[in-house]
Amino acid sequence: MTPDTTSKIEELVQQVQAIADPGAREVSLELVKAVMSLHQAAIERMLKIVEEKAPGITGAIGADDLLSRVLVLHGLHPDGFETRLSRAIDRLQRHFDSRGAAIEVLEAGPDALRIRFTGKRSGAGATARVTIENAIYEAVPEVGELIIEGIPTEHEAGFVPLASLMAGEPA
Amino acid sequence: MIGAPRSPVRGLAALRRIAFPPPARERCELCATDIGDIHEHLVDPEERRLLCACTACAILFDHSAARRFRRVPRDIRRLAGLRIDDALWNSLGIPIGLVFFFRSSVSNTVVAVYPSPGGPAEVAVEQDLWSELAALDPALGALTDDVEALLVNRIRGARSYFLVPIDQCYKLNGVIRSHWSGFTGGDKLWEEMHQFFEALQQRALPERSHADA
Repeated sequence: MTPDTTSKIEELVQQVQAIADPGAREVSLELVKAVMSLHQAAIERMLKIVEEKAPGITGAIGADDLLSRVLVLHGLHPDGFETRLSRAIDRLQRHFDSRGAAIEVLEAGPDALRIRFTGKRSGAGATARVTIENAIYEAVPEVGELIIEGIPTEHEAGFVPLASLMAGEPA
Repeated sequence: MIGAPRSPVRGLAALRRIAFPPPARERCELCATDIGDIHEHLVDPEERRLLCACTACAILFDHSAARRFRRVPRDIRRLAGLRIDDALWNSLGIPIGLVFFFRSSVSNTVVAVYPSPGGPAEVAVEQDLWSELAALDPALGALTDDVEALLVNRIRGARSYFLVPIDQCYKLNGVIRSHWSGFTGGDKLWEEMHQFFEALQQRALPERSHADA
């Protein structure tokens, strides 16, 4: 599954949720739910069968990038919430470490995940936010909500900081 | 303190949300603090919108200078002594025996809201008629603007009157919207209505007799 497929799905989901006609929206959502439930039941059965024939194979399946995403999506990944989360956090820490920034987990539970971002450069926030969001939602999509502290959203940063205006000016 | 906002759901997680939604967490719509199932409500009289709030925000915003929001009270009282005769009732011109009345600070009138096949319908009540109605029970003259309502149930022979916080009226609208079918509402709706009023009765403060009022 390429990043394109993923973002296309994200976009289509938003479009379905934005359907103005409540009847049409409800039917579309029900269809998605029904198909997902069908796949969930089928994949679960499949995992059970292959695990019986070849014990330990689910670990290998879970390690595959594409299959991992599909398993996580259906709530069937062999690794639990905490394992998947700490793996994602490790990866993010390495990523930000090399860029002079850091993240810290303030609260980690299935209901809410609160992360603090500390960066050296101001203005690097928006990209960092999307990087964190993508990594977390990919690893633990079941998390109730994700709250990232230390990065103003575009909405909050509605004013243009003077520093960023001056940055382009020759000294 | 303004909390950091929730991040939008990205990628496949968006798909997962549709199929297997996580249990909703109630939070204050003003400061995003977690709040339990039982929490305060504020009403925005201009927008006719109800907001869930933590107690601190409910108090704070109710007392702010602008007073854009009003805190919704909690008490429910059954007006057991109230009798509205059919002649007075009919003169109100409301086509159905289920209606709530509240005084709107925005229009400065008493507004009656009742269900109809096209959703909630509303009419302004003539001042004279409301005065006549209010004279029947002192509680009616003392309704707090925007947040308190007289809820009337005269359906299928019922004659019950409650003084309710406005959020109960929103709740009732929700029940009606989810269960209304056909042109007259359908049996399922009237069963739900019955349960709504039973629950209201249970939550009502002990009745005062008409003589005490």
